[in-house]
Amino acid sequence: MKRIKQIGISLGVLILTLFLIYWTSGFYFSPQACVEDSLRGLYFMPAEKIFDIRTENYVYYLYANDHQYALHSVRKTALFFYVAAGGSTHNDYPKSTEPFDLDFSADQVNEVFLVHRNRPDIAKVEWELAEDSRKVLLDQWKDDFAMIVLPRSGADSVFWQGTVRAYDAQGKLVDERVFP
Amino acid sequence: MMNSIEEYIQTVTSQVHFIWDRTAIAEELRDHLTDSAEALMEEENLSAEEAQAEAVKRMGDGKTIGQQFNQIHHPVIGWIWLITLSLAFIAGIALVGLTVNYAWDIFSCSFPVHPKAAVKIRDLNESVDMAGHVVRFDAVWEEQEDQLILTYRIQNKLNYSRSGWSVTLFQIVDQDGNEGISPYFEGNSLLGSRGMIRIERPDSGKVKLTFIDGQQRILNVSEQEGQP
Repeated sequence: MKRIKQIGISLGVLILTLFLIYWTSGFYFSPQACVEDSLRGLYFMPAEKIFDIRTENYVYYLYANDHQYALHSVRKTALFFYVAAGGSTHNDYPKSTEPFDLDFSADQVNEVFLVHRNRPDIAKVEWELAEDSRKVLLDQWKDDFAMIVLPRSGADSVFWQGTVRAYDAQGKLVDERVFP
Repeated sequence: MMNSIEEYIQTVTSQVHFIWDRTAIAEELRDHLTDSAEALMEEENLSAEEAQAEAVKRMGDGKTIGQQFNQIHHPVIGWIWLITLSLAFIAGIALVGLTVNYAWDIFSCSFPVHPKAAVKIRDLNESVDMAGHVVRFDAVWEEQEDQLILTYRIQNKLNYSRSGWSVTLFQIVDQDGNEGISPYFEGNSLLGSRGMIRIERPDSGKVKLTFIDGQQRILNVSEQEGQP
C-alpha cells in the first residue's frame, strides 16, 4: 500500500512538472488554441480564421484582419500541439495595387501556396513552377483568399521561379507574372 | 562458512524477483532471526548454533517464505515504483530549477537597470498596460552630451500568451520628426525582462512612443529640475 501511494505521489510530481513545462512553452491540446496563443503573442488578434487545412501531423492556418494576414503551421507531438512555423505578416495587403498577391511557406513535409485576389473577377490562379513544371491551381476562395497545401516536391525548387497566371470565370487571362 | 541464519536468508531472498528489495528483506529477516535466536539461548539454554537453527526451523520453509515475500514485493509494482520514483526525482530537480529561474526573473525585474558611466537626469515612472505586457519606463540617463539612455522593464502577462515571440513592442520617434528606432525585444524570458535603449537627445526634449497595440505616449526626456 505504501508503495502504491509513493507511485501516486511520483506520478503527481511528474504530471505537475510536465504540465508546467508544456504550459510555459505554449503547448496545447488543441491546435486552434495553440495558434491563437501565438497570434496573441504577436499582437495580431483580433483576427478571423480563414483557412485551416489538416494533414497527418500538421495543421496549417490562415488568419486575417483588415490590414494583414498570418500564416501559421501547428505540429502535433504525442498529445500536444505546438507552433512549428509562422509569423505575422505586416503586409497591408488591402493597399496592394496588384491584381493578386502571392505567399508561400514550406516545411520538411509540405508546401503551402497562398493567393489573395484584389480583383473579384479572378476565378482561378495557376502557379506553374519553373523547375519541375508543376502546376498548382487555386480556385477555392474565402474572403478573397485561396490556399492549398501540397506534399513537398522532391525537386529542389526555388519558389519565386515560375509563372503565375490569373483567369476569370470565362477562362480569360486577367494577369500573368513571371518570376525569373 | 555461512551460519544457518545467513543460509536461510539467502534461500528466502533468492525467491524475490525484484532485486532492489532483497537487501531490505534480508535485514528485516536477519534482525528477526537474531532476536529469536538470542531469546532461545536465554530461555532454553541453547548454544548459539542450536538457537540459530531452531529459530530458522520455527520460521518455516525458506523457499515458501521467499515466494510469499515475492507476492508482497511484486516485481511489476516494484519496477513501476522505481521508474516513477526516478523520473519524479529528475522532475523534482527540474521543478526546483524552474522555480529558482522564475524567482530570479521576478527578483531581478523588481529593480530598474542602472547604466554604468551614465548620470540619471529624470525619473519617468511611466507604465503602459498592454494586453500581453506591462511596459514600465523607469528613468532617463545621460551617457554623452547627445546620447540618452532610456531604462525600462517589461512584465509578461502569461494568461494572455505564452508563445514567447520576440516582437517590437514600441517604436520611438523624437518630437522633432527624426527617424525613430524600433527596439526588438527577445522573447526568451517567461516572466519579463529589463534593459535600456539608447536614443539621441531630441531638441524638443520629448519623444513619442507608438506601441504595437496602437497606444501612444509622449515622454519628457529633458533634464528634471533638482536632479543631481
